[in-house]
Amino acid sequence: MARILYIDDDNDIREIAVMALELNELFEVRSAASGASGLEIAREYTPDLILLDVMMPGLDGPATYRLVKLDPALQQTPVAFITARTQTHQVAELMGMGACSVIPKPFDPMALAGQVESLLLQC
Amino acid sequence: MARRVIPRIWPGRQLFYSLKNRIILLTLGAVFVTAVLIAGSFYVRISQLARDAAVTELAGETRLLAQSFKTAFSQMKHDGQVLASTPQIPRIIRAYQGPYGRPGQVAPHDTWGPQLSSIFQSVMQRRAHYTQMRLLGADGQELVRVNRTEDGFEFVPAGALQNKSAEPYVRESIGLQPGQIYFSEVTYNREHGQVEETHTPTIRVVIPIFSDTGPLSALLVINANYAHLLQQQFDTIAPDKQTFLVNNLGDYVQSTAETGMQPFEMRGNYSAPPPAIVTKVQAIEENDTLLVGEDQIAYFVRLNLDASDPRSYLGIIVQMSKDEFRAPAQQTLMLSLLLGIFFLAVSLVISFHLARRFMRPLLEMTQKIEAAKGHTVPNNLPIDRHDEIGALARAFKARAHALLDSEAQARAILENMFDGLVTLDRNGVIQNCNASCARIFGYPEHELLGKGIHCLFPDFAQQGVALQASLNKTQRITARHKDGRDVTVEFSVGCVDLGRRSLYSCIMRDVSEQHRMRIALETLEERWALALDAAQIGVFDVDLQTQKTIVSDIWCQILGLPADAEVDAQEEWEKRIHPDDRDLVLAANQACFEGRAQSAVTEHRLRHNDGRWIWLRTFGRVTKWGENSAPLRFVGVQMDISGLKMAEAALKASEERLRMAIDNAPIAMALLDLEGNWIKVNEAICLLLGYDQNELLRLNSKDVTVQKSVENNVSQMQRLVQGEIDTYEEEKCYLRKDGSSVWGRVSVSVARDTEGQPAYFIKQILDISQQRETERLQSEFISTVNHELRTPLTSIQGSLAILQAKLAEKIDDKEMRLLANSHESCQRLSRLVNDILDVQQIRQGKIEYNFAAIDVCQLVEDVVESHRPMTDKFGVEIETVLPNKALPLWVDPDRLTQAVINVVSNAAKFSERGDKIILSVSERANNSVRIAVKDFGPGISEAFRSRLFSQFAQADGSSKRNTEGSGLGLNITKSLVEEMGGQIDYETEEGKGTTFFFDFPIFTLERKSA
Repeated sequence: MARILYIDDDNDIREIAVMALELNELFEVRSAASGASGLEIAREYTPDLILLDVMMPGLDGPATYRLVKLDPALQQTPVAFITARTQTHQVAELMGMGACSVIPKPFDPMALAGQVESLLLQC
Repeated sequence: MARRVIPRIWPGRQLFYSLKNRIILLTLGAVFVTAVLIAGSFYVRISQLARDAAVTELAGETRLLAQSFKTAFSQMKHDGQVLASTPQIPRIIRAYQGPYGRPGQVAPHDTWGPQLSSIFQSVMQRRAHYTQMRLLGADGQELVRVNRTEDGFEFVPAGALQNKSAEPYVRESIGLQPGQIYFSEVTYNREHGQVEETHTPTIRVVIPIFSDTGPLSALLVINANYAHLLQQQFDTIAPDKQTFLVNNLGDYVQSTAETGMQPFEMRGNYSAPPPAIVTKVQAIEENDTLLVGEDQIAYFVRLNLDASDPRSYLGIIVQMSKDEFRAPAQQTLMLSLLLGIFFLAVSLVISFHLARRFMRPLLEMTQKIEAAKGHTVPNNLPIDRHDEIGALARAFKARAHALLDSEAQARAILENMFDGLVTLDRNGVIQNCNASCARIFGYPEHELLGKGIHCLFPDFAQQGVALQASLNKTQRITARHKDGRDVTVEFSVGCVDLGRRSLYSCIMRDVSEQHRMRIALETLEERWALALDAAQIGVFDVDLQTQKTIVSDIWCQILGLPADAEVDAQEEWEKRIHPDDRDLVLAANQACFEGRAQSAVTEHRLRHNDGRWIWLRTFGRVTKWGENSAPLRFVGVQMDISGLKMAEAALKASEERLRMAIDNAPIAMALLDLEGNWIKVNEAICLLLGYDQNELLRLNSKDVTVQKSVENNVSQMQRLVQGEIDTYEEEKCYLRKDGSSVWGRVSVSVARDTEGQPAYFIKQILDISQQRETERLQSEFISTVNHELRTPLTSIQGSLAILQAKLAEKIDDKEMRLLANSHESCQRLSRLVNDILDVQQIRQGKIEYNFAAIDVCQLVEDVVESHRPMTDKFGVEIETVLPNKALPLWVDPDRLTQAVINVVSNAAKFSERGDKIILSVSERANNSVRIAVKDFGPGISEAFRSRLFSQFAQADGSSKRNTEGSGLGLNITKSLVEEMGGQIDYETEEGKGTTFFFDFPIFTLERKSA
């Protein structure tokens, strides 16, 4: 089983994403509605991959990412951003931070699990 | 300085240059000379002694003979005198004179005659040379006569007696005084008046006998065989030399050791010409005389036999050849020569041995010196010796050290000297060179050695001649560098005479740079002259002491004066200067003369020769100063700037118009100097920035600019100032007086002065604050749409997709179709939102392109493969026509994919089910690639074609198919294709189909860099 943590402030999206990921029976998916709660869950859950929304109130995606990388328990955990900000420089900026991938929104729910499976193999 | 010339040595002379040989030769020479001198002096001395001895001997023998003859004659005389006193004689005489009384009567022989004859015979017996003795009467009659015969004596009988009165000796004797005797001449004996056949030379001694009374009574005559008498003397003396006896009459006889006495030669009856000496002594008066001839010496003694006749004499000559007395000297000489040769041989051996011994250390030292390698002094020289060789070795060593030091210094100087130095032999072959040569000509030293000088100076074909011709001259010639380029050098040659050979020393200085500079200077001067001519710049030169001014032809041309006219420039200037400008010019010049100004620059008017005023700009400077800073020479240029002045006037008018235009312009305008200070502002800009004019003119542009907004405009301004661009635009945020900000689009251009230099900037500012606000709102709207529309759409779309997946087998087809329709609509809405956002971003230029080199064929294949579900949905088949080679394009692959999908999707939408779409890629003739999408749909109506690429353009609803879409696809596609450097176009025919195509240039590295 691969443990996936999905962090997004949009409840609908978060729910659809969890459902889409759970289409793959090998995935165990948990979600968080903010960066702060996501960090807490992550420390306890120690996921194999964190999917992180960029635009969030409070701790946004990049800030959350920096905290994940500062946490000794989590700094080896791969993180992929999932965002609607898909212009080239925006994607480059996120990849430059060290993210293992950037998944554009809107994502195809039927293809999301496959994309994540590929990421788990790559990252 | 006298030169020491060492001549060429021939082999024999080489021998002489050997010191050893010289010692030997000199020793031998000295011995030889000594021997010769000693032998010579001995020879001379001995010759002299021999001569003296010979003379002494000759004199002795001669005198001895003379004495002998004198004794013989004295004996004859004595015999006569003794006989004359014989007592028989007076008796005979008396008998002859007495009783007969008649003279001439011979006395009878009976008594006294035989007695006297006996006396005569006894005397003759003792005197072998007496041949006759007779007693003559005073009348010449023989009274008694005795003859010597072969076997004894003959007492001549009275009848055979003769009268001898006719005989010369009798006549001579008649006059004799008492005490006198007479020796006759030597004559052949005569009897009876006839010469006897025996030809006996006879001398007679006659003793007169006087009677008691006084007169001559008789004559006693003794005849002597003269030859016999002489022979007796010779036999007695036995001279071994040639001896002559000669008398005053020239009769002579000679005797030699070999032949004995020769026959008596009587004068007048010489059997042969007499010897020269016989004749010679006739003239000699002295009694003893040494006679020296060529080959002989002789001694002559004159013997006066008859005291009464001083003329008569008997001369005795003894003669010997010089060889005879020189013989001992010759022997001595020979002996001396033999001794000399012996000494020479001994000296040769000794001197050879000693010379070798003395020379050996010198030779050893020479060998050591020769064996010394490089520039070193041999260490094993015999400096410890106390002799001259040791001194030589020490001196050599000291001198060699000094020379090495000197050579080292000289070499250091040569190596470090800036000039190149080569030494050449008389054939021009390089013997030596210094490092500067390598620098000048590029050859390492070892490459130059042994080469001909022509490798540096190709023009020196006849090297010796050229070098000789160049002697003691400095000339500038062209040399050849190793890399082939020409090098100009100053070249001087000197000749060093080393005696046996001469060396040329060449000093070369690289003056290429000077040469180039000189040519450059000449070119520059020529260019200046041409420039002055072309620019019509006149030149004047004023001698401030004489006030004489020289002007160029151009100066005359400027004033319209004939170039060859003799003009007094000072007078012309005074005559033609504009009265209003005169003081100005003089003041400027005066300031320059007094040193207050470095130069006098004025613009003033002069009257042209045709009467019009022309403007001149003068630039003058004092170029020579005297004592007490008195200016001596004032030189300057003048040019006609009338045209410039007119242009300036026109410019001023133009500026005035510009100012008015600015003042009255509705747009904000301002002029700024090059530092950014406002120098002219209009009312509109004052309104824009909230300042009044005076406040603004005290400010700099930076004072009212929000600096953050102008960071990137420095380069644009530089390009504008440098004339690379005429104008540029920028958007700037200005700070108003009340603290608020205002955005303006600023158009900047530059105004230039008559010389083309930037004078000031012209700025026009358009207030774009409103536009900025609108854009900001639009951006916010896009962002909002992006987020607020997409998020729920994502949510809905995702939910529907999951529902479709999860409920597929749980709900019926109708429900399923509703679900599918909802999902489809949601996707359409999502695409519409995406299209709208793309259009917005395109319009704002905010789309970013991620260019890369891609293979267009691969991209097309990927598109077809990934969008097959979409074409399947429309029931059309895609056929691809691709070339069999890769065709690279420089594009953003995502955006090109988006463009291709847009047209493919359009084609699919307008195709009937079962139709096919042909997607082709082809290489074009103009090095481009065409991507074409051909459908076989209804085509594009003529009416729609003009709006085809407009936003929200859709074909009219008469189309049979539901051509859902936003109408933004082709608009977006056109923008994307053109932004990526391509072109989009189409071909259509109603009822037959449409082909859309993109043309892109094939990617090359050159295009990438471009």
